[in-house]
Amino acid sequence: MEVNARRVSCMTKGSKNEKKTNDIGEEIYRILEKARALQVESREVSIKAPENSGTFNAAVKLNRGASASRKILFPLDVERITIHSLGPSKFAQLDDLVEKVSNGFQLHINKISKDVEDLLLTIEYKIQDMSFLDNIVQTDVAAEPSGESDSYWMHAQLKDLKSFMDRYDRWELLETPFNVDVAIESEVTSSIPRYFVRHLRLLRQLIGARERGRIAKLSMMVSSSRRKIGGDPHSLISSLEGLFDPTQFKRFVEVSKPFKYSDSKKGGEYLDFPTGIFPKTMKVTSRTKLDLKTPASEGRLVYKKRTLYEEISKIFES
Amino acid sequence: MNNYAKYISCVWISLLIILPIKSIYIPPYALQGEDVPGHIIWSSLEFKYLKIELPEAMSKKQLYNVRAEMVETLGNTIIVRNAAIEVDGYLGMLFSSRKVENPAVKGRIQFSFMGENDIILSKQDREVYLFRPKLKLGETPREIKVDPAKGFAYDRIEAEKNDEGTLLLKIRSARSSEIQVRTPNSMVEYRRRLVKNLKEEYADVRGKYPHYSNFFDKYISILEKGWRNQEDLKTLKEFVADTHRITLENREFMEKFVMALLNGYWRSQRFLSLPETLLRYIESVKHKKIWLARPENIITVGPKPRILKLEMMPSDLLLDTYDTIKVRDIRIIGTEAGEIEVAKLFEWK
Repeated sequence: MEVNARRVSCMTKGSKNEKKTNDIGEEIYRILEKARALQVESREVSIKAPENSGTFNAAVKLNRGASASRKILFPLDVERITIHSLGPSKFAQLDDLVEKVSNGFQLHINKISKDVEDLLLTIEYKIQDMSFLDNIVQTDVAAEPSGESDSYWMHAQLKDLKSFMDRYDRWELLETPFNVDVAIESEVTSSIPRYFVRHLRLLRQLIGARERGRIAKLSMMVSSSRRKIGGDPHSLISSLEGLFDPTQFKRFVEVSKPFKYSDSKKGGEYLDFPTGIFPKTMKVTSRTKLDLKTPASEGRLVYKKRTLYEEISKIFES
Repeated sequence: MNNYAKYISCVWISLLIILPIKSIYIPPYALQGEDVPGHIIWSSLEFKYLKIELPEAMSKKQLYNVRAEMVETLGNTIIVRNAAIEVDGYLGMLFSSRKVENPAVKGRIQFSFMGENDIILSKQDREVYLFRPKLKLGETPREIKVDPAKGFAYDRIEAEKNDEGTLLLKIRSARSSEIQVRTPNSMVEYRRRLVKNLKEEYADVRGKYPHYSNFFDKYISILEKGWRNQEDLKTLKEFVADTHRITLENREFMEKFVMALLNGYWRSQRFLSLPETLLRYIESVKHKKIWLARPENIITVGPKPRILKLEMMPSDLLLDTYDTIKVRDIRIIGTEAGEIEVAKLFEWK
């Protein structure tokens, strides 16, 4: 009873579930359920978060006796529909059954040869709007580690496992994204030598000075502190900035399984104003997989602060 | 059954039962005010109900894979009947934590799987450490002499922060203060040019995505106004939530938005040199994870003493609001007329 009630609720137009989701997979599910010429034996959905795409696989049996339409329209913005025979000529691709029409794809049941009874439909689609993820999965990450710890927890859990189990034989959400704001400001500020900071302050004072005597005095102090630095201050600062490039920064984080590192970029722009070039946090994206057998997942991101500290120190030592 | 026999049967059943519980996860720590997620995975476990006992600072926010109407919540105890579980073997959990007087508390969440006659089949607990930053003022001088040429204050206000959590801090002057905290003219000019450049860079994006104009306008408003009061913190929080929503909703727009911002910032760099940018960054970070909002803000001083009434607005990485800390009135005397960064009046501990 419960299962049926839930199915109806998913399929009812304007129902809570329909309003919540923008997932084309849901639409495909509805079309196949309504198509009387087909009997759906199994359904599998795979959503790939980074690619904003999904694949719907359905094993269907032809209902030749049914007084149903011989054409099934998929009025959807799908990328591709492929059909394979599961009958005598196993896995033969039946391209001529699918026709691209102005508002989507059409499946011609009447063109299927009589010896074919079972088909595998593979529908690939793009998901323009991934906001439905918020309705199906709860993701949380640590705002910050406690004390001297350098580890951030990450956690994902499916909100409505039953509705997926009722509808799909296999359902998976690949590479669910997690954004952790890794605070790096302590390592950045503590690893820059004091004499370098002093040099920057002198430069500031020199730029702001108006009196001739003071300008002369500050100029001497700037050139003296410049000698202590060794390298070109601008190029040292540029090298420091380079560490926040995603390709560089990934060396400073370690993500434990079943999560994996995906990307990083400068974070917290709105808090950092006006210093967006040097971030206080790096937004590190990690990913994990959820499916019907793994409805929840926990992981850990370790920020290798010592390594970053040493890397920055090296820039100023060289 | 006498008590001893009951105890023995509990131990025996618990030993048999412990294996079917595949995992109970609760994160080891959280910032006070942060949501605390968790889950339990089990298999082949015949129980009548699950009792979850939460510490004082936590409450239930949401349970997943349950029929909500069959879950009872009595104070800090949650009872989940077996029949409430939709798919056997999984319970998803989301708890709220709140800010409490103690900035570092250890809470224990107890999970008891109960059988017939209230026999405990399995009892496990997980500890969660809840922390938050806390700032308190120490010695505050009645008078501070400052040398604006050297950028030095001869006395300072002691501000002490605990070891936990990042503290975001805005220092402002009270309306009734004779000396007002203000933004240096150079920064006003930089900000004006930056906003102009950002608007120009964003013009094409605005044309293509008019429905997201409010999002950009909110960003500009945050840049222009900064964080002045608790209302602004709320706007910041909304902006963070909007960023998350729009990133999922329309990744293409978000990429264009970020690119427009980057271009705008780069074009504005000639008004704020790279060394100056780094210096401001360094100055915005104080001892023990204190991040100052607008560290460049200054006060104007002179040889004639004037009263400064300061207010400190703390927040944390959740952008939650805390009580404003009022600094007692201080007479400020300058060795000469000039300006000094307000942050230099503090001794950070």
